Amino acid sequence: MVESVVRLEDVSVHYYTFTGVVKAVDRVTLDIPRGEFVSFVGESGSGKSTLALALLRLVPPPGRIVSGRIVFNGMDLLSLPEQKMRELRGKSISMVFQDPMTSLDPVRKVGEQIADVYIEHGVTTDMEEALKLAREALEMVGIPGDRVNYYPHQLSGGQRQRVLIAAAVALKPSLLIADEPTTALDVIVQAKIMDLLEDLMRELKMSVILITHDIALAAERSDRIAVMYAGRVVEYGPVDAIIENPLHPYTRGLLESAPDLWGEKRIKGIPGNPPDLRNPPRGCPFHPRCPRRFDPCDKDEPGYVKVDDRIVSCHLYTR
Amino acid sequence: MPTISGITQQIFGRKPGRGLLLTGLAIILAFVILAVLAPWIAPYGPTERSVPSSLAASPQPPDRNHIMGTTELGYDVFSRIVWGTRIVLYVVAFSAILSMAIGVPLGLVSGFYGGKLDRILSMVMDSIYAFPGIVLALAVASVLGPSPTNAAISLSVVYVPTFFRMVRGQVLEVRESLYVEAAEALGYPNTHIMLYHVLPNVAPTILVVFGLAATDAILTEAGLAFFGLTVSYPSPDWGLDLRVGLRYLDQGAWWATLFPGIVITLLALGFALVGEGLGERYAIRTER
Repeated sequence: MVESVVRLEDVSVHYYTFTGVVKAVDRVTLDIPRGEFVSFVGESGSGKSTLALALLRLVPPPGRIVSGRIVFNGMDLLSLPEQKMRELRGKSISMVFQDPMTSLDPVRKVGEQIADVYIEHGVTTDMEEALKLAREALEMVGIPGDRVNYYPHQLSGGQRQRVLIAAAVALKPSLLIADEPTTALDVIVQAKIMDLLEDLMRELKMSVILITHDIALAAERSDRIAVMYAGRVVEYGPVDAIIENPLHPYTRGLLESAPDLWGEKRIKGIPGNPPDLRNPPRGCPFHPRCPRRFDPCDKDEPGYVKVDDRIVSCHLYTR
Repeated sequence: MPTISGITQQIFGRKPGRGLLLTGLAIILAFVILAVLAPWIAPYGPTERSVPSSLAASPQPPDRNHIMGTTELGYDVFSRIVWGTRIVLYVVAFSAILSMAIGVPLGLVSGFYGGKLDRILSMVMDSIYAFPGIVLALAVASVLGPSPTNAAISLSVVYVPTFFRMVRGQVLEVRESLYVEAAEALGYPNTHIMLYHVLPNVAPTILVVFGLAATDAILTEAGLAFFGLTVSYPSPDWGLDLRVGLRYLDQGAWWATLFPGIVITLLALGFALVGEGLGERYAIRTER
């Protein structure tokens, strides 16, 4: 049994909106092994970003983590006082956001924004010293150190994402969450940023959680993949097994929707739309769109089944 | 840190609103010079009888020695305007700075934390805002009693809600920005986020509101002075001179009201131009 950096137990996050309760994350249970690269894939609204925010306890109102445990390095994050949680953010768990163009404060120099991490987390009280560390952090992510005096608008999108990564890994966190870090960037830059994440992961012995809708990207980079649908993790396991032999019909559908390099395959897509999470269908949330649904699917919700080293939530495997 | 050259670049650089900004600053600077150098610029003291007593019973029209004429007591109108600049600038600067010092932190905290505090503060500010400025200032000033400092305080009461509303509105917008979310994810405390991320991003708005509030304060100050709530005659204040001069208007003494009126308008114009110039430069909407 590999040691895990984060274990989610029965985590649910609901948004209490005027039109009803949205179950954005619904009873998710899984282990993230230490030192691994784990991707959460799913379409928009599947709950993957909310899950990432829940790990930092930063789900914005009207959202709330309503149940479950998030065990990080032996601590239950959900029962920590806010002050303690704040100290963990940026120090032990960090996050890189989707849009590097707006994730940096436009009126402050990038060096100062990285230096803040050292000062606010008590590494040093001296701005000069902090700026020196910021310079080193910039060099670590492949940006010349003298860029500390640049303002965000003087950098390109890829460089800004590097600056954000530098701030996020400045204190060598044990877990880095990257929420669609490359969606706003072009493909070449995307590959370079992903390379950087992998290098940093090895260098700093971090675990990385990548949130993405790009299953090809996830397949290329991760050790494990968690497929999310309607707030549920429908399949979770080692990347090779999932790509070669998807167990859940939704995973299969996702893979069949991705184009291949030779263009021989016909892209299929999945008919229908994701369900309304205020009022998800009874039984398995995927059953209205599932090509392989059968008797129990619209009545009972499938639990998690262990198949080899994967878990899957589907009635095909419950017996 | 902003450097000197950075600041000059901000003000004089070829950016939108440059002409408005420079004209406004020039007007204000001229009045500041008048105030500081009053003893050397004004040919007479503000309450000096500057004409032979045989002529003192009625206002004298402008001539070679009195370029803006004299009042009924023989005071030189130009000298009184120059000396009056001191009172006007004191009251206006004091009130604008005081209302900024109160309105900005309240707006910042209120917008950032939201919730009950925000609702209560917004309601209080909106009720103050509902009064016409001059009426509210008159009421507060009459309670506090006539003095330049009291006048400044009563003007502040009027302009605190202006700062509060504009700052709060901007904070609500900045608070939703991704860089604030990113700062939260890096574990920064709220005070850090407010001081280093929110405040600098609403700073241009504060400057613009400062210009607008100061413009309005000049006119309202003149109103207070008109009703004798700043200094007492014969101390010089433009608004007060306007009222005293009014009595002699039907005798044809247009100079005793025209010139104080012009300088009030001119100084207000100066601040308005600065406010407009900054607004144009930073593309800030100033519907109030």
